[in-house]
Amino acid sequence: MMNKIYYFFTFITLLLCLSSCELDNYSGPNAEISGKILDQDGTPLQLEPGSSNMRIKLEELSWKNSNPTVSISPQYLNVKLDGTYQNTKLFSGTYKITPVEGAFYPYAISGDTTELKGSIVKNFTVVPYLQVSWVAEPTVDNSNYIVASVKFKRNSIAGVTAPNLNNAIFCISTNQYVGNNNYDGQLITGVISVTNSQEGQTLNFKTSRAVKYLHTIYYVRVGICCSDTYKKYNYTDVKTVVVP
Amino acid sequence: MNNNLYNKMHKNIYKNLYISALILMAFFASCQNLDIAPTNILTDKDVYNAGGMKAYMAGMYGRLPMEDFNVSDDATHGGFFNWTSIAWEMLSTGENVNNNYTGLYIPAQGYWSEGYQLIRYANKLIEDLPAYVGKLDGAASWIAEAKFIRAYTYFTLVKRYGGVPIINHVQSVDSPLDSLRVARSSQKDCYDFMLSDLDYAIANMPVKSDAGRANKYVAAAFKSRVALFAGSIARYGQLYNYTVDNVMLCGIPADQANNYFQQAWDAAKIVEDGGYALYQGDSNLETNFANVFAKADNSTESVFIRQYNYPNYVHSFDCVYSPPRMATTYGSRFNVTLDWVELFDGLPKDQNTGHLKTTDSQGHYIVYDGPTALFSNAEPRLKGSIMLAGQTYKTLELDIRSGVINENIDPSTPISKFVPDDGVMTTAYASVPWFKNNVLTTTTTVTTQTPMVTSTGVKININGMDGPSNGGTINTLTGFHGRKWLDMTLTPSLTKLNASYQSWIDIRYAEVLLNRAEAALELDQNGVSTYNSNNMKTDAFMCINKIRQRAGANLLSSASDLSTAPAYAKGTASGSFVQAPNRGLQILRIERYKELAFEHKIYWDLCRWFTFDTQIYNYRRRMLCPFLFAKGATLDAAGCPTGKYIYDARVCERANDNLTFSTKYYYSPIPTSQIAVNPLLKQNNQY
Repeated sequence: MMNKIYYFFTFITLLLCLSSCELDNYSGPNAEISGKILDQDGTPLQLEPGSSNMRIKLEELSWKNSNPTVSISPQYLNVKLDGTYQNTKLFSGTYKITPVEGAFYPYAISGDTTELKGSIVKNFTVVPYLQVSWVAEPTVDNSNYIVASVKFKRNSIAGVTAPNLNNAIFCISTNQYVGNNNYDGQLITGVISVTNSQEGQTLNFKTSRAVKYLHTIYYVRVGICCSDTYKKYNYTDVKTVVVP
Repeated sequence: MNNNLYNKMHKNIYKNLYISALILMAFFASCQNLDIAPTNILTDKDVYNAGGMKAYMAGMYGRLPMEDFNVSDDATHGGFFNWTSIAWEMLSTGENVNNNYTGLYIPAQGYWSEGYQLIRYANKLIEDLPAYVGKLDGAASWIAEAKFIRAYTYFTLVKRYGGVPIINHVQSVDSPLDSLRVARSSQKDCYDFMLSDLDYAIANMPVKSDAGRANKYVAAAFKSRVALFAGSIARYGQLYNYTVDNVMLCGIPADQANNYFQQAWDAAKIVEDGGYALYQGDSNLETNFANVFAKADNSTESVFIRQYNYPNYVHSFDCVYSPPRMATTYGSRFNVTLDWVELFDGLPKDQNTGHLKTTDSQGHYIVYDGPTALFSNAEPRLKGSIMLAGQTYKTLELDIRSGVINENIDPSTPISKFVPDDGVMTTAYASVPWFKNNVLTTTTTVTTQTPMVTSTGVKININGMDGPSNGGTINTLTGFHGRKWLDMTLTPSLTKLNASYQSWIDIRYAEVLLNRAEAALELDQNGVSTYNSNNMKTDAFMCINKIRQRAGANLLSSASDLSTAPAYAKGTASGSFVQAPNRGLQILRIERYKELAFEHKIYWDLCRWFTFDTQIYNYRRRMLCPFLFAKGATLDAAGCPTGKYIYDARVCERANDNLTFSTKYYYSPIPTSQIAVNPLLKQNNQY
C-alpha cells in the first residue's frame, strides 16, 4: 500500500517537473557572413589580424523593432590580415553592419541594414587615409641589414578634413602575421615621424642592426598612420626577404 | 405556553444577547488607532534639527565619491571605498607603476547608482528645508551644503561619462515608470547645473566649517576645479564631441571656453579671502613639503580634507605603498618613474633630450661619490615627494642598487653605456657582453641573498635591500620609492593593513593657485589679457612662482616666460614629457605634474587637455639603475654599502610595456546595467 502511494507521488512529481519542458523554438546561430574590406579601387585593405587594426560592428535590429525602450549592445567581428573576414556562428536577423575603428574615413551609409540568413557575402568599400606603396621592395644588403623604401599618397573625401600624418613603422617578423602588433623589437627601434609634406617622397627604412638568423625568411611591411582618433596603420602588402 | 415559560425564554434570549455583546466588546478592547509611525524609519521630525542634520550630513560626506586613499579597482562601490588601493589611475600617466599593473589602468568601475542615491539624499534636503528657513537655525546654509554635495557628486559622474541625466528633485517611487526614466543632458548643461549649485553654495554657506565639511571657500575652490574642466573641454575636446538626437552628450561648444575660464579664475580668487595659504611652517623646504601632507589636519593649505578614525574608518595606504622592507605585508606599490623624477630642477640633465645625464660627452658613465651625490642638489619638493637612497625613512636607511661592478674594475675605467636610453630599447642587461662579464647581479630574494665579499672583507648585498626588483622578489620596478602621503612616524612593524588613518587632502590651496594660473593663462592666450582689472599673464606668473618658491624650485624670471612659443617636443628638452599646445601652457602643466602627482589629479588633467592619446602613445616607462663599484666600497653607520656609483637610465627592465592610451577612454562607457533599466541612456562613442 505504502509503495503504491510512493510510486504514485513520484510519478506525479515527475510529471509536474516535465510539464514545463518544451523544445526551445529559437533557432541556433545558423547564419554565416563573410566578405572583404575594399578600398575605393576595389583592392582589399592590408590589415592586422584580429581587432587591433579595425573591427566590424554588428547591431542586431530585429528585437528592437523601433521600440525606444530596447537598447542594443553591439557585437564585433575581427578581420584577417588580407582584408577578409568570416563568421559562421551568427544568429539570423536584421543587422546594421559597419566597419569601424580603422585607418579609413568613417564608413557612413545610414539605414544600410543587412538581412542575415543562411550564408551571405558582404563587402565594404572604405576610403583609407593613405595609400602606401613600395618604391623599393625589401632586400638584405651586404652587411645583412634589411632595407626598403616606400611612398604614400593621401586620400581625401569631400566634407571631411584629412587627418595629419603621424608616424611610420617598419615591421619585420619571422612569421607572416607581421604588423604593428607583431614585429621583432630587436631589429627596429620604434617609429619614425612623418609629416604631411612628405607625401609622394621616398621614405627609406633600414633595420637598426643586422638580422640575427641566416637561412631564414623574414616577412616585411611598412605601416604609416595618421593622427586621427584611432591612430591605426595603413600598410603595404607583406613581402618576404630570404636571408641567404 | 404559559406566561412563566414565556418569561423564562425571553430572559434567556436577553442573556444570550448580553453575553454576545460582552464577547464582542472584549474583541474591541484591543483595538486602538494603529496608524503610528514605524519606529525603525527616521521621519522628518527626527532629522530636521541640529543633531539630526549633523548625522544626515555625516552620512552624505561619508558617501561623497572623493578620490582618496580608498580608491581601487574594486567595482563594488564603483571604484571607491575599498582598502585595496593598488590600482590608482596614476599608473597610466607616467607618474607611477607597480607589479600588479604594468599596463595602463583605466578608472572605469561603473560609478553610477551610488551617485544617484547620494544626489537623491541631497535633493531631499534641497526640497524640504526651505520650509524650515527662519524656524530652524542653519536651515538656509544646509540647503547650500546639500547643493555643494550634489555638485560634487555630479562632477564625479560628468568627468567620467560626459553628460548624464540631471535629477534635481526627489523622484516619487509611485510615479509611472516612464516619468522616472530621464535621458542624458548635454555635457554643457551638466556643467552649468553644477556651477549654479556651487554659486548658490558660495553665496549661502558659512565662512568657517568643521574639518572635512564644506564651507563657502571649499565650494569656491571646488568651483575653480569644475569650471577649469569645462573650459578645457570646450577648448581642447572638439575632436571628441559626440551628439545623439541633437544633444551633445560629450563635449562643450568651443565658444564657451573663455566663459568657463573666467568663472574658474573668479572662484579661485574668492578662496584667497578665506585665509588659506601655502603651508610654509618649516624652514627646511624638503620637510616643509612633506609636512603639507603630514600636517594636513592643521594646515592653512588644506581646503577640503577627509579624516579617518582608527579603527572605525581606516585605509591601508602605508602598508600598500611603503617599500616592502618598511611594511608588514604588501608594500612596494609606489614605484615612481624616472620620467616624472626628471621633471624636477637641481638634477644633471642632458640638454638635448632633457633626460637625466648619466654619461659624459664620450658616452661613458659619470661616476658619483656615494649613493646620495646624484640627488644632492635636487629640488626640495622632489625630496619631499620620493624617498632617496642613503636617507633614513621609518628607521631604515634606503638601499637601492641594481648590481655591483667587479672589484677588478677601477672606478676610473671608462664604461660605455649598457643600453641606449631612447625610451624604446628594452634590451636585457644579460645580453650586454661587458655587463655580463663585469657586473654582479642576483635574482635571489633580497632577504636571503648571499652578499659578495671584497678583498678587504666588506660584505655587500648585490641587490639593494629596497630594490630595484630583480625578478626574485617584489620591489620597486623603477629604482624609486614614493614618499608623498606616507606616515613616516609608523615604524615598519606598525605598518599594517587597515591601520592607517592620516587625512586625505582633496583640495589644497596649491591646486587652487594652479587652477587660477591655468585659467589666467588660457584667458591671456585667447584674447582676454586683462580681466577684472588684473593682468592675466602677470597673475599666472605670480601664482606659479608662489608654488615654485615654496617648492624650492627655480623661479620664472618674468611673465614673458609664459610665452606662446612652440612647446618642447618629446625628448628634446627638460619637461618635454608633458605635452601642451605652447610653451607657456607647458610650463604650467609641468608644474601641475610636479606639484599634484599621486593625488588623483593628473589623469583627469590629461583627459581634459586631451593630450592623453598623444603623450601616452608608444610610451614605455623609464627607470634608474644604480651600480656600485666593489673597489673601494665600505659600509656606512647603518650597515649600507657606500662607494662610487654609476647610474643607468633606461626603459624599465621589468615593466617595459608599450603603453598607448586609446581615445575611447576620454569618456567612460555608461554601465550597460543602467542602459538596461533606462533605455533613454545613450551609450558613449566608441563603445
